[in-house]
Formats: sequence, C-alpha cells, structure tokens
Amino acid sequence: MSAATSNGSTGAGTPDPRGPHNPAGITNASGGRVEVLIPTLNEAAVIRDTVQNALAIGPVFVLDSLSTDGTQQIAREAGATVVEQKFLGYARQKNWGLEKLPFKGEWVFILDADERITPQLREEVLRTISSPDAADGYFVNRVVLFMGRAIRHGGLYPSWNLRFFRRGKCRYEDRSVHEHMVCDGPTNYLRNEMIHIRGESVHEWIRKHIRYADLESDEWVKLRFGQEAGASAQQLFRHTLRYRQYLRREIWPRTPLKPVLRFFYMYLLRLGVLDGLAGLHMANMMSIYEYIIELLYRDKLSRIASGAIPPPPAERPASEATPGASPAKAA
Amino acid sequence: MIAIPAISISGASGAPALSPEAAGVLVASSPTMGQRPVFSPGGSAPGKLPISVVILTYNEELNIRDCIASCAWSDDVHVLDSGSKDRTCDIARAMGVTVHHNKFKSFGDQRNWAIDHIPCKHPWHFHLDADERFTPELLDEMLALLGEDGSKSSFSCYQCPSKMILMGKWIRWSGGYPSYQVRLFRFGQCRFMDFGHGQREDTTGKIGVLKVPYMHFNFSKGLLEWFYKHNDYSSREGDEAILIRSQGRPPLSQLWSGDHVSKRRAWKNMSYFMHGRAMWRFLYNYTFRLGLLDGVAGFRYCAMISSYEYWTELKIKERARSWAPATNALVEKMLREGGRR
Repeated sequence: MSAATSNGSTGAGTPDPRGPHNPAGITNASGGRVEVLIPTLNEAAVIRDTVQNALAIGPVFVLDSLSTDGTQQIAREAGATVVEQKFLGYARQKNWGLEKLPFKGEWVFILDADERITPQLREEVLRTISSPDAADGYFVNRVVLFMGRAIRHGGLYPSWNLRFFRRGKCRYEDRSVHEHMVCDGPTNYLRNEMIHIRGESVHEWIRKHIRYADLESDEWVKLRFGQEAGASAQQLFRHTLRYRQYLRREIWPRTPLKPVLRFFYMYLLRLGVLDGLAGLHMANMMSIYEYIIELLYRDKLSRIASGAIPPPPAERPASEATPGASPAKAA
Repeated sequence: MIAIPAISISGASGAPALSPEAAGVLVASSPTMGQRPVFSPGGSAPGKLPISVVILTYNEELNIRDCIASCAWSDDVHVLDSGSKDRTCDIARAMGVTVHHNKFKSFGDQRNWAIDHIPCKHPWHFHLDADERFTPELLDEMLALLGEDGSKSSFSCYQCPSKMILMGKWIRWSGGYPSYQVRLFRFGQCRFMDFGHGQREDTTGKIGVLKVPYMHFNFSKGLLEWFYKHNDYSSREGDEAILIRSQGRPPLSQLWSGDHVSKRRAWKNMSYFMHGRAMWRFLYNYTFRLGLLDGVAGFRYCAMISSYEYWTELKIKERARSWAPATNALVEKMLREGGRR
C-alpha cells in the first residue's frame, strides 16, 4: 500500500463507469440489491466494457481463473471486486463463486465477459425486484452478434439462460461443458434481451469450439460407459427445458448424420437463411463443430478399445469432489 | 498405484539405472495399442539386418513403447530426444534402448545431428518416427535389397512409402498413397536438409524406392491435436492468401509449365483466387482421388480435410474485410437504443 493513500472520500476508489457500453454512466441502479458475477479468463480486451456495462445494475464481482493478460487489474480499475480462483470447470467455478464471494444483495446476475445488458433489460430487472410476486429465478434471452449481424434465426434465437436469480436459490449442475442451472423455486422469463458479442477472430472461434467439442465428446464417452451423473429421464421430463436436455444428451449422440441434420435444422428449418451470409457461415461452422464432436467421440472410443487411453474412471477421484463440500462429505 | 522410480537422465549413453524388475514394471505400465514385437524374417535373433534404427522423439510417451516393440528385430536402436517432459526417455531406457539428447532446431538439423553424433554400429540407418511402425514384410524387402552385410545394394538411400492410419483404418485413396520420404540410407552417403514443414534428402548418390510401406499412425495422439494444428495451419494459409492475392492473379500458363515444385506452387496460388475451396477439395479427394473406396474412414478423412479448407476460406474472407468494426458499431447502437424493437 502506498504511503500517499488519499483520504478516500474524494472518490478515488469509484472510477467513472462511463464508456461506450454504458453511455449514460449509470451506476448501481438497483441500490445494491442486484449484484453481478462475471467469470473470466484472459479477457483483457473486453473486460473494461463488460464491467462498465454491468455496474449500471449493481456491484460487480469478477471471478478470475488466474488470467495472465492483466484482466484482474483492468477489472479492478473499472470498478469491480476481483477474486482469483484456479479454474475448477465451468459449472464448479461459478458454484464456487456463488458460495464464496462476499455477496450482500438478494439477487445475482451472472454475465459472461462477452455479454452486455441492454438498457431495457436493466429496467426490467429493476421492475422485477420491486415486484411483490417475483419468481426465484429468471431466464434471460440472448441475441448473438456474429460477423457484424444480430442473428435472429437458425435456432439460435431466442436463447434462454437462467442468469438472474435470488441468491442461494439456484446452482449450476455439475457438467463439464454446456452447464445448466437448476433452481428449486418458481422460475419465469424476462422479456428483454442481453447481447452476446461473438467478436473473436475466426481462429479463436474455432479454437474455442474444438475445446468445447473435446469436453462434449468426453461427456458422450462418460455416457457410453454409464458414468453420466445427471438426472434420470423421469426427472428430466418434468420440465420442458430439461426435456430438451434429455434429447440432447441421450438421443442426439446416438443419431446418425448429425452434421447434416444440424445444418438442415439451422439453415432451413429454423430459417438461418434469413440471416444472410452470417447465417450460412454459422450453420456451416456449427455443422463442422457437430462433426468434430462425433469424430473425437469415435476416436476416443477406439483409443480406449485399443488401450491407448484409459476408460473414464468408475468414480470421481476425491481431488475432483465438489469444491466447498464439507470434509465429512468429501471423505 | 505403481510407483515409478525416478531415473537420472544425465549421460547420453544412459545405461539404465533400473533393476530388470523395475524396468519391467515401468514398461508394463506404459501406454500401448497392443503392438507385437516385429522380428527379422525367419524369426531369428536380432541383428540379422545390417540396419541401425534412430527414433526422434519429443513427448512420445503414448507411442514409444509400441514403436520400440516394432524395432525388436534390430540389435541397435537409438532414441534421440529433444527434451521430452513425459516418460518417453525412461520407457525407452527400460526397454534397453540408448537415449541421446539434442535440442531441437529443425527436422533436418536433428537428423544430421543423429548421423554425426550417434555411434550406430550398422552401415545402414533407418530414421523411424515415434508414431511409425515396422512390419515383417518391410524387413523382408530390406533384407532382400541390402543383404545380410549391407553390401548388396548400390544405392545411397531409399524412398520409403507409408500407410496413413486413421482410427485403425488405412486411408489409402484419399490420403494420396503412396507418398515417399527418404528414411533408409547408407551412413556417409546421405544427409538431410530442411524443406517445407519437414525435411528432404541431401545426397549425390543413387536413390532407390522401397515397395513395402511402414505404418504411420498420424493420429495416434488423438484427433484433437489434428484439429488444433489445422486451425493454426488454416490461419497461416489465410495470411498467405492475402499476400498472394495482393500480387494479382498469376497467368494460367504457369499451371502446366515448369518443374514439379513450381507447378505445385502455381496451383496453390491459383486456389487463393477460387471460391468454394472446401467443396472442391472434398470433391477432389473423395471422388477424383477415389476416397470413396476407403469407406467410412475415407469419408471421415475427406470431411476433415474439407473442414480445414472451409476454415481457410473463412479466414481469407475475414482478412480481406474484417467484420469487427461492424460488430462494434452494432453493439453500441443496441446499448443506446435497445435491442429488438
């Protein structure tokens, strides 16, 4: 700490939130009742915009997985509270954050570094928290911006994600990729959308998707070896969204011609054709992504069969046990 | 859990500091695809062929056990490692192979280092990569060509074909079989020089051609690595395309004139001016090169190659006209005026 620390009341610790993604410079419109959790890893290029945008709703916590590009510093300067934690997996990391970060408000909004809250969504969130019959969790719609265009078709829109909820009411279920939230109380849907900026280079987009495909194919392998710890079909069918999850996890991996079906579904059935060239490329890329999952899955099975790699472990090793679980539980 | 004893990796000669039992345990616990030892024709003891084997490695823990097993026919096998961080060297030593170390600069340089510094006892050397395997048929052919003392052949080196294996299947048609590399050469009559991603031979002697291929498990470390690598390659192709395009379209006559290397170059440059790379590449490999005869494996391989071309195509587009400014403008507009409606 520097000896020249100022008296603190001059506002040295409250940076100006005004920026291109918070043009009016609004701060903490919820009066601290809503807090925003932003999980990050090497997001130096965008994190200032994300934090400034999120500050408009309430205090911002950045949960950083040990970035090496200075994300932490930029986030702090932009006005976020930064906590670092080694990456535990997408779901586990966020659950860890929900448990361990010093939240004070009643509500939490989970925002990714490449997402933005529109002014209308912010207003709706504020209306919601002052409503007496608010639900416990809210699904938020998300529009993807890709190749300079808002993608409104191709099955990518609407895209509902449970992101806004009463603290303590919802958790992510434990899955290494495409994690979902589970909420015990009543849930509802918000009308206004948030923005998902796919601003990365094609190289970066592909790199990310190869990684997702790797994780996804691991899930398929676990499924094949009967390791899927997810809920049973019976439980899943209780809720429409979970019924879709059931299709995706149980039926889809066993379906032939997945890449072709994926393209047909996105581009024609869900009218991706109306999104112009961006829609075509999105459908192509997702079809290739689908094929990479399939190939990695088959490759892993064949390598397990030949003994080159071991099959998935019968039980989770203790080191991977849910973080924050009580010692008695872990033992 | 099996405890793996720590082994010192100091001396280049590296006599195994392991008891035979510990070495056996280490080898038994290392990864394998079930490669059986490959022996000299007639099953006689190692040393019948006048060939020393050199294996270049870097983090080849997954491959090294099977690779060395396929060299069981030779009494002189060397591993030249460039700083592996896994158990490659330990496994090799436990299998009775001499391990040498040299920092990697390039394939050509590394192979020449092996020629200059590794005391091989036979007049012929074979450079096998860790993801490659000998077959009994190949040993037969080499014995017939070289003779038991290696003096039968008048060639300096041999071009060797290989079989590309994807998920246990030979990709014969779509993989462009046979393509050759010089791997078998007479000590003192052949060196290497860097060429493209790899190396080529540097010799003034006569070059022969082997008929029987060795096995090449290109994808032994998993397809994942292939995809990551080809994402990088396609970016480089994208950069290259922008450069070539800025120089204007080359005359069509170049496609049919000049030597093999310059013709290849001309076709490649021309491709940067084409639309639908992915589709053309698929049609070429799958139908013209008869990839369809390779069955499911051929289809998979062609689809992979064609995805790679699609990535290249998209990256060329991205480099020609970035859409980042349009995206930024749209975000700011939506945050000012709201999203839909």
